[in-house]
Amino acid sequence: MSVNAADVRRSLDSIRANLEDGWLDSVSNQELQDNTAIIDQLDSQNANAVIAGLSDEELGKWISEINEGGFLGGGLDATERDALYDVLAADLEPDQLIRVHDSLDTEDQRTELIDSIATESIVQVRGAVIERLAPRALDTPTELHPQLLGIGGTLREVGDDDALAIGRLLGSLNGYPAALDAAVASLGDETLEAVLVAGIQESSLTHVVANGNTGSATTSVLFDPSVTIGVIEAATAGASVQTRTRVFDLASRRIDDVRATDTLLQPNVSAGGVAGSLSDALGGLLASDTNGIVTALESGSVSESHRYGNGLSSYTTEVIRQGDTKPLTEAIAKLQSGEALKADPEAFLSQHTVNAQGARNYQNASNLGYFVGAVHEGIDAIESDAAKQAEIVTAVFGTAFGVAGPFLPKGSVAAPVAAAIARTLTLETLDARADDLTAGRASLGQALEQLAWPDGVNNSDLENTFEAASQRIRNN
Amino acid sequence: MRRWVAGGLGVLLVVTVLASTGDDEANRKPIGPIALDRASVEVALRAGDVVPIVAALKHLRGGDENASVTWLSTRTEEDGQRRFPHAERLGRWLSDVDAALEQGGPADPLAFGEQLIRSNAQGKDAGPDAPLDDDDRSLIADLQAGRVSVSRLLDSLATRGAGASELEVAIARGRGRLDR
Repeated sequence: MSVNAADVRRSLDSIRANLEDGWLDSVSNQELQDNTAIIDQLDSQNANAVIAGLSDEELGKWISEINEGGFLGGGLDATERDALYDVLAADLEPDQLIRVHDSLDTEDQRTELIDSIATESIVQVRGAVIERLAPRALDTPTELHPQLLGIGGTLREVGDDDALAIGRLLGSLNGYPAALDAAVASLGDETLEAVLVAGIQESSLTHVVANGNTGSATTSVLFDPSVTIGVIEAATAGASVQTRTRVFDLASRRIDDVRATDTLLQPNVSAGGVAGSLSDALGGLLASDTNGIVTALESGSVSESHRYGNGLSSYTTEVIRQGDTKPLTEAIAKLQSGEALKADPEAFLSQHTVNAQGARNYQNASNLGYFVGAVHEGIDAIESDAAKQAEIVTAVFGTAFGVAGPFLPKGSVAAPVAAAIARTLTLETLDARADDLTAGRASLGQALEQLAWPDGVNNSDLENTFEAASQRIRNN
Repeated sequence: MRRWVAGGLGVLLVVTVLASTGDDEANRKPIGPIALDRASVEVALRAGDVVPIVAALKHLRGGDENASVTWLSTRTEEDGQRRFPHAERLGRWLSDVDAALEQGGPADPLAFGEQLIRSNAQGKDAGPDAPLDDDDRSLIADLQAGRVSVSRLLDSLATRGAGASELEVAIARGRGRLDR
């Protein structure tokens, strides 16, 4: 189907006529709704040609009229605006969508349009819009709104608006793995990180409270992590290992952003809940392909910076802090016995490749060590007392045996996970190692390594591989 | 092995390696000021001089990243045990670096680290003004965010791309980190 020049011309004439002002004849709500209907009646190519045929000035006029209200009954209400945005999103090509987006007056309206693109545009258009927004996603990492509402407070919003828009669109690619992969691949690490930072929607309100002749500043910080969680869930639903790994690592670091706002001097009571919802979503992502993601992280195949486990350690720390260590138990079981939890641990950990020069790479043994190193970092960050560390260690492994304790996981670990752990460890060994840790006969690292390394696998090459990877994280 | 005192910073002890650990290394060309032993590493770190550190790094890796896997993978068999002497040597050097850092590192670790990354990158494929690759850029970002120490930075540059876990084990053994 090609552009019908006559239809386009007629539509443009009508739209322009509807937007004309006169004495006591401002643009009415009906005229604006008529414009929506004009676009709606056109097929995509003609609709796109009509918007392309409007000058920037004309497009700006249309948009500004949308916001007009008042006694003459102009403007569009929220439902009518959504209808217009839906029509535009369904029909327009990326360049015209960006023109409309950039001509919108307020952030709320731009968000409404992005939401329409996320639901009405075909996935290829969403991807192309992401690519066009990406170059400016780093422009405004923070925005200050002083003198908010005239009460003297300052609102500080973290995250670039375009980065947030990209996050919304990435989340909309849930269920479209190829489109999600292409969109994420089009973003460099810095940009993807900006997207995930913006996606937790941190805002802090600071205002000064008068106190005699002096004043004290109070700051309250709020988050809405829904956009970042949407991206994590999209990656969980289906994506390449590369996409899953990049999202996992960069989203895990957002837990640190949230926790950094909760300090002794400025407590943030909402931080725990927000960090918990991020770690829950990340747990789902990790569980979707534990061996694939940990292999990519450990080997640095996606990014060299992953090899030191910063993102993974942020995640393990939060899981422990939340008091539900079950996801860690499940991950360890999968790293010992394969994704299906059915492989013989010795055979699984012995799998290796050989490089062109003959050096072996025991990837699965490295993965287990890498993960255990991150668990060590998590426990160490939260608890320095050996007896309490032993309680956490007992919770990580004891859930497979139904052991209860202060770090009792919520619910019990799935039966296949419990069975896999029970193949590699006995309850007596767990008790003995926990006692060693409590009594100072073993360090936390030693206790964890002894518990995570399957009983009966006696191969110094594999054990050294496991230990070297674990130490890389612990000495980071 | 020759030693001399370098000018400029006064007492910077630098070493040029002509030959040391084996035939492969003997055939390699001298590569100028290089901090291979702990004393020279200490001096270079204190002075914030990246040149001898990067030279040592590249020497011990066997050249640029493409050559390093081949170099580090060179192996011997001792009593049926596979050993990787070049990787172990790299590990010993990293251990010296850690010990030297404990005695006092560069005054401005951030500037030193960034210079180290840029200097290390120069020998790759292009000149000094060539853009950094993704790994180097993310290292700098981690450095600026305080997520990377100088020790970890050197570890990352030294072991990057080594790939095989046997090489990591050999490096860890050289560092004295393994029980077995």
